Amino acid sequence: MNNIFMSVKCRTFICMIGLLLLVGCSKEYMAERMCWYANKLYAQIIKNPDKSSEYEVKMTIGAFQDILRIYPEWDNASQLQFNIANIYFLKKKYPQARKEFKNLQDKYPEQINMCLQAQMSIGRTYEMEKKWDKALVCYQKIITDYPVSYPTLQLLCYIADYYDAYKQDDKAQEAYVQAINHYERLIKDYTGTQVEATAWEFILDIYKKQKQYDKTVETLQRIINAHPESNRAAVALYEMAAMYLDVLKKPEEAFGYYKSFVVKYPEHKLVQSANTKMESIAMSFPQLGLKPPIRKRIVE
Amino acid sequence: MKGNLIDKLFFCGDVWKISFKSMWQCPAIFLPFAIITLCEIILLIILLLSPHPIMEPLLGPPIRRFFGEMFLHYPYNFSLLPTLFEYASLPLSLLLMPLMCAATVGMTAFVVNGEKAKLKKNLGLAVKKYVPSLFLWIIVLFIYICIFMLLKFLAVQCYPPALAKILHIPSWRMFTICQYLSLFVCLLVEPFLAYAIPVMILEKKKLFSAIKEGIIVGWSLYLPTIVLILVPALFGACMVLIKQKMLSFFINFLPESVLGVMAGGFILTLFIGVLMTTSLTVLFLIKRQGINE
Repeated sequence: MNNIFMSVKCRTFICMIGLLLLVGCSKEYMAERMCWYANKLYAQIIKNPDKSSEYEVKMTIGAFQDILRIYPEWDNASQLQFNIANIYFLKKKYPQARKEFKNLQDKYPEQINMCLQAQMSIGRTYEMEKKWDKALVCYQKIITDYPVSYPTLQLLCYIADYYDAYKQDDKAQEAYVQAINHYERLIKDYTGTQVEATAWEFILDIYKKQKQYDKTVETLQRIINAHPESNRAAVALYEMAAMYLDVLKKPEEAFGYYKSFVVKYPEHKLVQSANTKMESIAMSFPQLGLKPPIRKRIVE
Repeated sequence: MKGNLIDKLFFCGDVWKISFKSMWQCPAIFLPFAIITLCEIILLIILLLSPHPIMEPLLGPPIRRFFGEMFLHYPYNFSLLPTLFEYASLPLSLLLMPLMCAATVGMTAFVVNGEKAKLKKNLGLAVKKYVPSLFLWIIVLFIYICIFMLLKFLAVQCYPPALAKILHIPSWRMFTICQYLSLFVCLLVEPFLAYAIPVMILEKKKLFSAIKEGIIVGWSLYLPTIVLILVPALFGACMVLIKQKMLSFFINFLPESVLGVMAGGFILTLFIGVLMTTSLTVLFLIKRQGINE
């Protein structure tokens, strides 16, 4: 009788533990678990897309699709859809990749970042197929739909660089002008924000790439005028001095800008470097009669 | 002297023989430590359920606060599990170990003397001596922490860079050496503390008398006690080395492998605990019976 009682107790205890484990499992946790295993397979394909077999690709896509089928409401479902499309992209199956990217945009329109990435990737697929015109349409759609996003700022330069690389100078010039106009609009509309700061950097990049140093210097001066107390303005002044010295080969102007930097921003971390540069200019060009400022030395 | 040394080593073999015979004749000796293992398993299951709705309201906030949100998601919850278990099992061990150790000592004494060992009766006896046993464990823990802190102090504060250059041992390595040295010193000190519980339970002495008597017994049985503690501890050390590789199991195999390693640790701890306690109790009884004879 005691043994029967004990075994009933044991069985009840084991059932309770089992029930606890089953009832306790959340959908999200199960989705994460399945996703982890699927991502392990996915990592193998990313590591070496050419060497991965059709079977491995099928298994991985199947794993992601299973998760999407069982847990369609999961927060990271859009990432899984993107991974499926990316697998086709890596395996150079561009029409299928585009289909999956469009699927993502249809299913998850509220996930703006994912939709943007998907649109970029669609453009990339056309580029890989050497269909630049279609790629350009995709990229222009991103510029129109997401004008303030960082990928848009990059794309504007990217399009211009593409034409530059293929020696289509007219189109490149037109693209650079379009890019600069866009950046200028953002500077005007988003003053004092990170968008403005990023736009300035892109403008500087374009002018440096095109070796338009006078315009580079002009832009740096505009940054200093717009935000004179900011760290970026201080660095811009230092950059101007460096440009005059190293690129434009005008040591006297460079000396003047370094001096101005040291006076305006005495606590900046580049002051020591500026002083060194001034001393170097004074020594290298004695005929200019330049006198570097006396440095404050701390005697220990 | 050499003959005595070998005799003592062979003597340990006899002690283990009697211990294994007792365990075989009366498997109920495993019950006290098995209860601790069961509690540890239940604790592990509770911690395992921390990302799930059933436990998340209770365990989620502290995990989120002290470790981060990512440890409430698969597979990172497994990487945190050993750490969480270490913290959670500390009070459990501190509260249950003195009780179960004392119960095992009592049961072993009954079996060695040819009587039937009953868990309930011995647990009752252990409960009566619970408070002094708990204090004893706290004193032992305090001594080990002092040893560790002293050697850490020597490694960090008293190891000048000049000496490091002469010995070609950088200070971080000296710190690791001192950590292992502290384990060695604890091992050398343990025989003096190992017999306090058998004295308390079997001879029904009070705490400080039991500690004094335990030190005397430990000194007289020093070498065999070291051997009886060291050999099972080596198995425990292997487990510690395996646990250190848990992260590589996690990365290279499955995150769930952490559970396997921890479960293996529980089972090994169960056997080591029972073996150590029974063998030391057997040695104590042989010593006492030898005096009585």
